[in-house]
Amino acid sequence: MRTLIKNQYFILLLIVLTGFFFRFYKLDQYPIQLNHDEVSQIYDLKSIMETGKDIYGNFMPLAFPSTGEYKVGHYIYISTIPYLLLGDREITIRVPAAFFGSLTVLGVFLLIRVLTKNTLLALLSAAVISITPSEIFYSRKSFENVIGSSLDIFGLYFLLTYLKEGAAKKWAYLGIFLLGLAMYIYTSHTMIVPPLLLFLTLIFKEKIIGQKRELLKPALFWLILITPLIILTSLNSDLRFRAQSVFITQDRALGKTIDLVGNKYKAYLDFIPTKLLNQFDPAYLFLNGLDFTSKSSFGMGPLLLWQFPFLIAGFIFLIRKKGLKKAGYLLPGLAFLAMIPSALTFEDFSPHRSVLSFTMLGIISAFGLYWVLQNIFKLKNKLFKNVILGGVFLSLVLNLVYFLRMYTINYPYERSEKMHYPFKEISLYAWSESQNFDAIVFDPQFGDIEPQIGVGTPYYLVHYGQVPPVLFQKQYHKGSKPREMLFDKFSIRQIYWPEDQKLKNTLIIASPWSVPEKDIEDKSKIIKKFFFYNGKLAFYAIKL
Amino acid sequence: MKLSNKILLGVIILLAAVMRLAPLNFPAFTTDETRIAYRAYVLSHAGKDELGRTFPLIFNALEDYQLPLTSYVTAVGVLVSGKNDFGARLPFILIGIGVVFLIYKLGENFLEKKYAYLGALIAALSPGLIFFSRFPNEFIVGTFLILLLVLEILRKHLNKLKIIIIILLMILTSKFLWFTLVPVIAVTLFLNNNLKKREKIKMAAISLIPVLIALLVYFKVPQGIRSLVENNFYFLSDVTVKNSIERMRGEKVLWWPSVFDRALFNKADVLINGLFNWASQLSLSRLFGEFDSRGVFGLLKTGAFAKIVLIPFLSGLYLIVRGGRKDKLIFLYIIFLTFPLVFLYPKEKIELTIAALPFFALISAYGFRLFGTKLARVLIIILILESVLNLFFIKASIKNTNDSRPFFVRQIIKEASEKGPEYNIAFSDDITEDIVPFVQWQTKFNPADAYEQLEFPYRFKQTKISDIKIIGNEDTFYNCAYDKKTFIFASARDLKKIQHDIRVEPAKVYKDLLDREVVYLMPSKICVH
Repeated sequence: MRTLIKNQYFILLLIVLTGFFFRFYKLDQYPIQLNHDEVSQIYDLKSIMETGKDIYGNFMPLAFPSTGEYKVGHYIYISTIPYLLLGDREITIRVPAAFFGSLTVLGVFLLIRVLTKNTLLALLSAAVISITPSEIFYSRKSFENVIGSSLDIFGLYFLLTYLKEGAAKKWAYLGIFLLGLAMYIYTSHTMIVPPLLLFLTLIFKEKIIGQKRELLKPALFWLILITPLIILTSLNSDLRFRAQSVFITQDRALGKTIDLVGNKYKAYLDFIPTKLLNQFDPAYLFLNGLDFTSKSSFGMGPLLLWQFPFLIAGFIFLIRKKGLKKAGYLLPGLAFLAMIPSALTFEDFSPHRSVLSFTMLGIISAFGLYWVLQNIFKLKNKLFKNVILGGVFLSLVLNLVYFLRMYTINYPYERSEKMHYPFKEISLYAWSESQNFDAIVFDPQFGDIEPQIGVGTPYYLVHYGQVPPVLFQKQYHKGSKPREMLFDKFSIRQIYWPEDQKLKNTLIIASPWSVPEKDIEDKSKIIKKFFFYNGKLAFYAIKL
Repeated sequence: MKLSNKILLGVIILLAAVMRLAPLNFPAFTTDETRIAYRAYVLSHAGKDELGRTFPLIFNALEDYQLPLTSYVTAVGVLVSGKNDFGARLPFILIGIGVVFLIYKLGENFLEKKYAYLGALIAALSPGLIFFSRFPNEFIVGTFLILLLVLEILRKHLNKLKIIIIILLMILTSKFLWFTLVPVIAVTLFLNNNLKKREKIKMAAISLIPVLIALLVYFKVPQGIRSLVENNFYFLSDVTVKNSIERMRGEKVLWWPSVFDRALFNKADVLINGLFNWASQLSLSRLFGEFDSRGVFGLLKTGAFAKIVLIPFLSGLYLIVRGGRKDKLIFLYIIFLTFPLVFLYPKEKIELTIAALPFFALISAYGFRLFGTKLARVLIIILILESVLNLFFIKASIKNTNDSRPFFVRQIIKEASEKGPEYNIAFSDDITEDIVPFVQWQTKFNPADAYEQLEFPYRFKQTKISDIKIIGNEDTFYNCAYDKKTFIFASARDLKKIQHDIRVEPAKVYKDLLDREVVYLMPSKICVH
């Protein structure tokens, strides 16, 4: 134990490096392809870097219209740094999330150390977070919530450094600044941070009441910091549109409940708390919350199965252990608060909005692990002790192997369609053939089990075609046919085969949903087939 | 007991009774519940079950065999009140009220008296316990017997005869109780400080004997083992589990050493899923959010307890975790009473958690220790208001159970029974899960007309009763011409089939509570082969 504490910084370095490894190793290969969000972000980033405008010609927008959902743009602006360093590469857009996700490991160590004054507990917490599936999964795609969570954790650390250790006021300002910044990054944090600050005030009320004059300035600083956010949100309809379009009022199940109950307020009273409690369903947290597989007994939760007993032990430890009162309030409290955004959106579960909650639950499980290990080390029978320790370690390894298999093999097999696979291959092929045709018509309706529209299609084509944004901004325009968008030789639209089959010198790219194979009389016209990762037919290229 | 205490308990019991009686017609019965009600009628009037077997010990249900106690208990109610829903509900309403009283008694054993009252109050207003006190089911009976057993074992001097009778009754109630019985008895014996170790071991051993006998007898029943595998160890027979294992193993890449796959994807791993299936059904979301999302066994968006009870429950958990070793044994009851859920993966069987609800109620009551009088009063007032409010909005839950508890069937059957003997009657078999029990229960049907004399009918569904035709997927339709006229109550499936061959419009359309067209009465000129 002493050796561990003595070498704490070396061990911390190893843990942080482990975190970096799981987040950066083969980052360009897993996930297997840029999804439509990522590809739109990388191209918008390129567009901003080269022209200062997005693809629609908006100058430095706060919300990018992108594929129609008005993405908050901070991730794109943060990505300018890796863009400058790495250039226009697929990995560029994934680097910020992976970097902040790795940094979270360090943040957790610092936070838990300042909160508990227990270095070992802090090391274990960081170690557990470095291997927690949700942390790894969301850090490996360009996902802004990961940055928000990281900022929250560092913000909390600096605030607690001030509150618990009586450090200089600058730490309080720094903490407030980071928490304020997190509110800009992602809407979930806009919702979480104010109640979190209120909650912190309650936990540290003696300290805060004692220093209320001193704390008035940081509080004012926070208000000043978030004032632009309030103004921007109220003035910018695009930002509001994004929030409104995912708000719980869009939830079909809520609509059904209102219909059944016949009273909106009673329906809200019943529905919202139920949805919030659903987010803590153990099956969701440990078995299938990451939605890796479709209708299977096997899946992956945001937390490892291995963490389940330790999570329970962690709660017990927090309740029973003297000296952990503040951690006992803060960690479960934050786990609860950080689930609220997921409960207030239109989907049954939004794990991507609950990342901070999973981090807190992961930390609590590390507390449980610490307690269990403490008890194991107290055992006098050496053999028994080693057997139990071996069991704990072996089950962890097995669970990690399971996660890695799920993530690298089963997830692509089952969900490649979600990542718009094989749009990259199609785009590269289309450009390679573009010289041979007068026009290329691409119907982005596709799907493994049911049809959907590949909204990121133009982004895939321009990104992999290396089309300069300034050119694309000029060329990209609406066409007259259903869902038609045009640029260069490309027409992205719905295909009406009885008519379209009469086209000449045209390359048609369509899925069997748009053009059933039986309707193609001359099969030799199918010059290329594209498959989902699981080998099922996704698209074919038809030469006319 | 002081008079004021008696009054307080009386008020809680009265409240429990009101909550279990109002409204009287809710919920409508499912197919299986209707079958039990009808069976109870036949048992109480002819001494036979619906298939004509004299006082049998194993009955028939859609998915499994059914043990006898629930049916015989229902028979008592029907004997007293006649062939009506209230008669079938009555014994369970009384048992449900009894459960509240027993929770109070148990609370006296585990907690201080005032928390025992609170436990009883929480149980009296528990939507989960209320729901299960309104229709024929084994789960509330099992809960009652478990509480009775625990109280009996906690006595200073064991009344072995009484205990054995309770155990035998439990064995005749539900197969799931066979598995939970012994551990529950063991925990309770451990809690009883008045007994010597030897006496405890002896009692535990005695409790094991009837369970073993029951299992042995059950194995002798044709399809007995199949019944256990398919209904109590569902994960062994479920096709989706098998397919999932094969699918996951089949998803391969070259670099992955497939030697790991047997360890990662197998039925033992599925048992881990079973653990979460279990934990999920005991989660806060089920207890305080929505007890049964399928809308069969609970109110719409309402948990096993009122939502406000979450606060004292969490406090109770906190206190118990901080408290002494014996307090924590209460968790063992919850675990032992519900662990069969592990083996039911991927199936949900939320009904099995009913027996654990009294213990959750006691934990919640204990949580009030953390609160001052004012806060406790506020919580109690909110609890009562929430329960009353739910009662006002019961219509939403009636609509929500529309598919599993088909209210609309009543009207169809009533109209069918009013048609004269000069007509044949036919029902599509997909109007509801199984229309036969509804016809038998809701008409003046002569039980002898449907006797089948099957000894051990497993997963048996009747398709012909008397001269009523149940139309299956394979049946066809024609113009009756000189054949006896028939009134067909057709589902959308059969309407489509009829209209495919014959140009005819329905004479009447019936809608369900969600205002959807569900049944079409065809003109009597259409007959069915």
